[in-house]
Amino acid sequence: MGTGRQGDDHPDEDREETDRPGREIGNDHRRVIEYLIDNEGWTYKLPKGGGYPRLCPADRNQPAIRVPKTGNTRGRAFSNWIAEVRRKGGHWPPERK
Amino acid sequence: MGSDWYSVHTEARASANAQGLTVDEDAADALMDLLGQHDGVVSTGTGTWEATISVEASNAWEATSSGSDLIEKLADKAGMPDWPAVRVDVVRQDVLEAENMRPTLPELVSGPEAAEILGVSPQRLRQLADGHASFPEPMYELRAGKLWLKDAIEAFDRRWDRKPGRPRKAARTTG
Repeated sequence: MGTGRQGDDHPDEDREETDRPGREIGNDHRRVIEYLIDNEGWTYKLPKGGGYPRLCPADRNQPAIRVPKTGNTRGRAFSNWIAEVRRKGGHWPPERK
Repeated sequence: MGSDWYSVHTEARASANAQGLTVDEDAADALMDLLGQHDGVVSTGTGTWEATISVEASNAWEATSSGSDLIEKLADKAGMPDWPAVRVDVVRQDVLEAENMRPTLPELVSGPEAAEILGVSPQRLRQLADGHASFPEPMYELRAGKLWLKDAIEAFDRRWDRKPGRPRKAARTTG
């Protein structure tokens, strides 16, 4: 295992921030992410040189959640990912109006 | 004995003395790759990383042990920091799925909606809110008005000993 690295450079500085997720992820994840961006101030970052997209909670103290690419996006994997979104303060399913 | 699927979530943190440590993003991506076949997800922040996987086990204790061992082994292989685990959460997959269906925020009601539930006028609602000893406290007080937990208003409705007639003007409302 590594030991971590000193964070004088921001880990996201070489990443491209996008406002919308695209076809790099599955429809189910995209629907949740679009809701969180539009309604709860979350952001979505797609690495320039490959790697997994990251969903960043509105609370910047919370860790960024990696988003699985298409192919492993249903069933238990999706449940685990939704649970992680909820753990980080995201509200899904959308609240009652 | 049969087996079930369990969701295992672990959180590792750098020691409190080590300020500002970050996770190598390539290592985190590598861990995400390795956890893919275990329905995994990885989260990373300053001085912390978290991973969730699904494992098949005969009970939650076994899932805790096998799941956290697997995460530790694959995190080592991916080159993740060897920060100690500070939390392990385990839940049977069907229980997690049921939890995921429930909204995380409680249902709230405004003054007019609370009045409707109680079958009183908005004015009477304000009297109750201001003067009834067991009327629930609002969750939020906004400039636009107060918001209550719907469950709290409904519970008050069930226990409220209503007294017929107009409340006395001078007395503080008690029923």
